Amino acid sequence: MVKLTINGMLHEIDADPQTPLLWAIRDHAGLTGTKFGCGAALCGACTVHVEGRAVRSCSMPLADAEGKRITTIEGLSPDRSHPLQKAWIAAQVPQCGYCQPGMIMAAAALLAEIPRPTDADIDQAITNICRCGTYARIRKAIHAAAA
Amino acid sequence: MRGIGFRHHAAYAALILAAVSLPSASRAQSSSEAFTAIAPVFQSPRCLNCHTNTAFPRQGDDRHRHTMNVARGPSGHGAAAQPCSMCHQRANQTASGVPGADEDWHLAPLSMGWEGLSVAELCAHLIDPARNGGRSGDAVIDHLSTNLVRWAWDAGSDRNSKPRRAPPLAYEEFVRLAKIWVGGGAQCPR
Amino acid sequence: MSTAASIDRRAFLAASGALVIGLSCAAPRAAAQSGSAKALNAWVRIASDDRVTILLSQAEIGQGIATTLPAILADELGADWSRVEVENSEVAPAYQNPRLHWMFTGNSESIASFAQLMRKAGAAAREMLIAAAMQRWGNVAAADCTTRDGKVVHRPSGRALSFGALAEAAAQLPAPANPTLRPAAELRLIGQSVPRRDIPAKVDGSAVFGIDLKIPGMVHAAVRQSPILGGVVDKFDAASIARRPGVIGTYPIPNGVAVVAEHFWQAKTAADALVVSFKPGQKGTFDTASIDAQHRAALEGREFGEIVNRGDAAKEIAAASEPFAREYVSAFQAHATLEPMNCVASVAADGCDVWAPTQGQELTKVVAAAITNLPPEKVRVHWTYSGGGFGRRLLADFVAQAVILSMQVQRPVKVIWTREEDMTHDFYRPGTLTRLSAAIGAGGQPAAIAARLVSATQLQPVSPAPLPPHTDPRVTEGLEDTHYRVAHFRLDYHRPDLPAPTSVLRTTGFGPNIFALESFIDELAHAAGQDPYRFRRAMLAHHPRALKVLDLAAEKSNWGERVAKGRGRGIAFYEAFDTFMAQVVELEVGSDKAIQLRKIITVADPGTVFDPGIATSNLEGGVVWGLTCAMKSEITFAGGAVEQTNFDGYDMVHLWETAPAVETYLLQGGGEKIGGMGEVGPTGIPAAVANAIFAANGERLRTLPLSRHGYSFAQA
Repeated sequence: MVKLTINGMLHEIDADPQTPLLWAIRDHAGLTGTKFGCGAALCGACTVHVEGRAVRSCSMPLADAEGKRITTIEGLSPDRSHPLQKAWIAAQVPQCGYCQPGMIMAAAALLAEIPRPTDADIDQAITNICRCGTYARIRKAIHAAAA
Repeated sequence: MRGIGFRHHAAYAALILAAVSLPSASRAQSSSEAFTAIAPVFQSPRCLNCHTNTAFPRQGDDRHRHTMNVARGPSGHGAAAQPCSMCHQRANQTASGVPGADEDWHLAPLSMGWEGLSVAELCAHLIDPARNGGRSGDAVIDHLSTNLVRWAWDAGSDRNSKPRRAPPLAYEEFVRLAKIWVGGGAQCPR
Repeated sequence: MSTAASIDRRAFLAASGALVIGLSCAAPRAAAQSGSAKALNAWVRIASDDRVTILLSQAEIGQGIATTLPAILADELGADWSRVEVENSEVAPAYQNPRLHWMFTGNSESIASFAQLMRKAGAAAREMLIAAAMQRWGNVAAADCTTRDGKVVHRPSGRALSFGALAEAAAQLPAPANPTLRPAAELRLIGQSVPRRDIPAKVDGSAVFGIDLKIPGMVHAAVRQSPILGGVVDKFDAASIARRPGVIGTYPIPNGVAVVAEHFWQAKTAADALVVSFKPGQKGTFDTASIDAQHRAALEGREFGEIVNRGDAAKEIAAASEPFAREYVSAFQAHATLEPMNCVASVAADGCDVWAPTQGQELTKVVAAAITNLPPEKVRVHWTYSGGGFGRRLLADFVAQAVILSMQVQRPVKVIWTREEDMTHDFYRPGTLTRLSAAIGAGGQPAAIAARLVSATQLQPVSPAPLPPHTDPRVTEGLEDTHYRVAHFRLDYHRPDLPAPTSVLRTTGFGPNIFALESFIDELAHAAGQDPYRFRRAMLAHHPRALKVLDLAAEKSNWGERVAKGRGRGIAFYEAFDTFMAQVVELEVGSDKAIQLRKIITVADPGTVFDPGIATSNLEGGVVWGLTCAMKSEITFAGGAVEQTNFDGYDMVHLWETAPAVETYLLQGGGEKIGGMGEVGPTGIPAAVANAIFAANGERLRTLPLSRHGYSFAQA
């Protein structure tokens, strides 16, 4: 039994300790906002925060997350009030929307470290894949949220 | 220990020499020979991919530039909000194929970039405290036993279950020869 | 749309049952117990608390249709948009695409096919509500009544009655056969940028995609499909993994096996460990070289369907003193939806429920009914948001697996494909080999163009009717004629029977065909020593609508202004999905053929723009999608298997690779046809990029993706 603290709540996860954190979050804690896209840390759809830093949860085993503070998209705000969420809605960023939770979590980690990122900062911090191609709006929304 | 002048460099070299018995002609030769034998390890992809001269790491046996615009960042731990540890965890991951070691995954500093160096240049680089992280002889050996360095011999397999090629010498042999090199005065081949 | 990921089964099914109300306009509109919503027709029901529920027949795959179609109806109806809820319909004749009598979402035609239906349904409901109000008020003229913000309003007196108060009475009235549509001046949603209804849920993690669904009692399945396409299982050893934690069993599926377990990771790791071997199927093995050889032999051969023959292009070209011929190649492409294939099926004695992120709503029902042998009315299809569709989800292979497995284990089963299974078991956009020949006339313009196209089917897997040999409208569109003034035009098409599975992918045949044609036109322009924009313009001088898009693209891109060395601009003009388009790409080519995009201009005229914001979004995203097709996307085969297995081998364009300036312009050229927006953004990009590279450095590229020629995007 692995104890995980996700969005401030304790979950007891009855799964193999080598299960990727992603699947513990989705299937055991029932939080499906964090998405599965590739399983190989190539797409970023699974991005969560562990101790406030961005982690691709498909690549972290459950055991390594025990005792650490995990935040998923559901925990970013209770009511879409995080500046990034507001900016994402204002700019109408998502198309299919599947990549966006991971994208927003990556952006939140960026703003936590660099409150006013440059375009170059965004280029290097936001490497998630958006198959629908919403990158221009993502960049615009990050700037808007940072302002 | 950057920025230390030539005088200190010479003093360090003297310290190293003083710490060991004076090399006879034959032992000095075997010190630089030992380095020639271990040089290919430093030049192998497992080491060179993180000991880059550039603002980015490399990956793979073909040493292609690390995908996804991964950058060195200000301190070698990745760009802001995209730390190496975002993907690289404390052990090789079989599920995702991402390599890891029980140490915070990061690049060697630019001062310890070895790309494009000849064997002689590499040797000089490795004993220069300005370019080896300020390490003296034994500390150079100690560094060879960090988890990140040792990872090179336990590099796991990629996503397609293809094992990553280990350096050309076995680890124990590498360390043995490294000790001969340092113990013999850290002589460099021409 | 439901946003709860975990749903009580009975409540879920009961909610689905409510959708049965209003099966069709002709069917009796069954009212449930008093107080619940009343259906005025198949598309709208109204509750006594004024909530208006609009039914949606189409799948939301990122194109925004879940907002636009309900908005069209709500606008005609006069509903209060803030009190409108949207629900997916069931799969039933009332909800079929009226052109094809089939429920599906694709081909950029949801608005074109349903807009009028939505307007009529909204207008009909409006007239019934007004009639009910008139009965209540007595002695008022219909002409003095209107609806606005969820109320019927009597304009002269200002009296108003809410929809909720009138719904029950209105639902009893006969539906008007020919309701009157609102005049344009009264429209408040149609033609406006309406914030998308699904976006809030897509920024907080609450939006439910197929892969997110939880049905009580559900178990998970991971598949091992034959790596050789068309291959089958030789043997498998269920005992090799039977004792692993959570494993329920191993079962055959049509092209492989599936391991069912309590949790997905248990199923996936067990499937990885399963001892299983495969053997090639009837089509044996094949590789890219053998397919290329097949294409080449077909192109040089004599077996073609004559798709178009306007004038006598063959004669003109044969008589030309200097024939001008070029060949163009496009690679096979994968859909690579970010949400991999998945489906939940629950088969019980009393019926079958299928939940999926599908574009093939009706095909899903037909396939599930066929497998379970249940009558269609006992098969219920519930479609979710789709993490990308691009045509892949028109098919039902992943549905069949879930249904088969649920029948085996007698529990709801969720099948999830890994990225590797998804990428190697796609129905790929077929590669193309195209030869374009021209006879040059006055001014260097082509007097005759003949095209020979070899490419496998796109339409057959998603169409119930068998295609005659050497025809496929999805493959040939884009080369079936041209708006350029060319006196003679001919298209011959050979449809090879390939061992690789192929189907339709976003941009259909327009994608590779416009690459070929717009590269060819560009080559003709340069051969004539003329500016590529002016050359095109001269051939479109007779066509005002075409000129408008072309001229605007040239203007906004500063065409004609000098560019620095190493920079170039490329232009493409086309009509696709009934939308007139022009695109200009400006880029810089560095050493090592590393490209930096500078500016991309897209001009689109779909005739009528229903929602400029959503249309613009589709175009912007489409441009990036097109860049991936142009620069990177290539699927190759070896030993009958696909060589690319994840995004490392099949890369997508990333944020730092996109152009700093992307501008889109919408024009409304009017006309009867409503042009599509979902697939036009990507279509001209490959040609515009190739033409820009030629302008920058003189290298003409005739094969997609351009990575084949050594080109890539510069890293930041």
